[in-house]
Amino acid sequence: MTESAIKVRDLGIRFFLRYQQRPTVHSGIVRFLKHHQKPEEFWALRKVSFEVPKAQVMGIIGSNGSGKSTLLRTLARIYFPDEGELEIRGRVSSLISLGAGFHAELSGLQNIYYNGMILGLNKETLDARRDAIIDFADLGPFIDAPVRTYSSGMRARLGFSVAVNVDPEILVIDEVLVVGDAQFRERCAQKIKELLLKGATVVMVQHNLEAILQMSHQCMWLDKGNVKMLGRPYDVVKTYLEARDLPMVPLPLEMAVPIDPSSGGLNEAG
Amino acid sequence: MSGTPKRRTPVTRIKASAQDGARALDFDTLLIENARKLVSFRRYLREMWERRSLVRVLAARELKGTYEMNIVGFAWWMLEPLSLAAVYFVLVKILQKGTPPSYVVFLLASLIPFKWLNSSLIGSMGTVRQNATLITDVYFPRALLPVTENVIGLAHFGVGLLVVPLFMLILGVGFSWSLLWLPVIAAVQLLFSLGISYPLSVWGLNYRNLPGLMGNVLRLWFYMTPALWRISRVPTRLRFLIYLNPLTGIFRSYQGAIYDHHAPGFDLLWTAFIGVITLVFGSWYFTRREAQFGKVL
Repeated sequence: MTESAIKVRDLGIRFFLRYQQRPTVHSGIVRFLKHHQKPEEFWALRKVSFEVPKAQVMGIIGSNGSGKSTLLRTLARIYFPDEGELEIRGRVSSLISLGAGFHAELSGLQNIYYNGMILGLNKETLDARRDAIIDFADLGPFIDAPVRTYSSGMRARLGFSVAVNVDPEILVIDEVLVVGDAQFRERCAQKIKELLLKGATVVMVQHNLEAILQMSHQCMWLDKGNVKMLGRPYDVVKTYLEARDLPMVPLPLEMAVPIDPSSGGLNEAG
Repeated sequence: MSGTPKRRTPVTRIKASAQDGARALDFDTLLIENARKLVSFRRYLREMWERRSLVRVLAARELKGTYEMNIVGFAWWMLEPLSLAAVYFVLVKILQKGTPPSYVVFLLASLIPFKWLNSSLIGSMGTVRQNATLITDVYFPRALLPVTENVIGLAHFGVGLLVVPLFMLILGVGFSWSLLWLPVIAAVQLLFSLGISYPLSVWGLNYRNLPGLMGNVLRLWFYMTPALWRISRVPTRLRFLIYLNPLTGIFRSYQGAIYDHHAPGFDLLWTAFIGVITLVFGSWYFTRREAQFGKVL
């Protein structure tokens, strides 16, 4: 069996449903005098365990509010686990919302540098990859226009282009492939395949079930913070759709894990 | 987060090893487990050092977003300290007849550093929220954010200082070697201001009306410091109280270097001492709290 890039055991993330608004100084004092009423707690994730072998894609599906994004943020070290543990081997690049740290007044090109440096690249590397990033984003002359003039699709392109050019060992993607036109989506899928060949591991949240079938080796169905099902994409997607009385999506021509059961289980797939 | 019932934050143990080439994060293996402590402080400092270029990036982004980086933009940038000087010049002329006009230089020597202190501290209180999209999307040592605020303030301070020689020339205040002390004094101020910035940036996130209050508290503190007035106004037996105030050392040293032509005294050393203490405790406190940022935002 291949080495795991991500190991998660009994992960729990807790939020406190405490304030309507952020407290003011005096409401803080009042609360202090009232002797810390225990705020209502809410487990966004509970008892989540899974492993992702190196160079595989894990797709996550589930309805809104099921903890998908929370899980990605935990993998990206933004949330810290309140329960359980998590082991990550490799540099993580996160694409949770696009254009993290984009400054609206600066041009696309300037933002490539800022965003790249925020993601951890140094200036020399960025100088070297600048053209590749610009080509991938394919924004034409708009690359020199301020980002505030971009459409959300264009921002997404730019953000994605920077993030995949960081050469991540682990890429955490939250549904960004949904934006952008069909052609760009195709190129994204292509790029992810390239990264996989280089040995990168991908965890992605997707509502596009076809894309899940097409790209992922494993699929997890999250429901109210718990793992409802974890297994081969075809099985999970099928059960997921059956649970809501929807017809099965058309199977893509190419699938990361073929449906033929004789092709083996999960761990051999990579 | 005064109400977090269990004041514990989970530990992140990071097994880092050097590796060349492009890096998304500077760690090859990281292990987060539920041992209720954040990264060890020393390791955190190292991580900060590795990502120090981020300060420059964030500060430049902010400055470039505000000012155009050319001659006109730069002139515009100078306009702010210039107008400040003008305001006080008129005030001194009207309110205090008989004071020499060179008194403006004395005032500027305090006002420009105070602007730095003020903007850094007020900025720090909002910095976590302002960079919310960064914090919720990318990991980086959050302790770099207050540093960035202080560096932005420092850039303004530097430009502001350029105005001072102009007034010194016009108003006939001589130049002296004591001006060479300015970087030392600025370093002490940075130390002290950074130390306070850390807890303030945590509280500023948690209590949304704090910046307004702190603005006035700061101004009060400033007026109670012998910055716009001379310490000689205070009776001798009460003076030790004034000297206990860490801001005294900073502002008296600026006046000494720019207006009175003498080197800083021991009061600056006292400020440096307090500065180191606040910095150690402030940043320690900050690192204990920063794990909450993602969830609060």
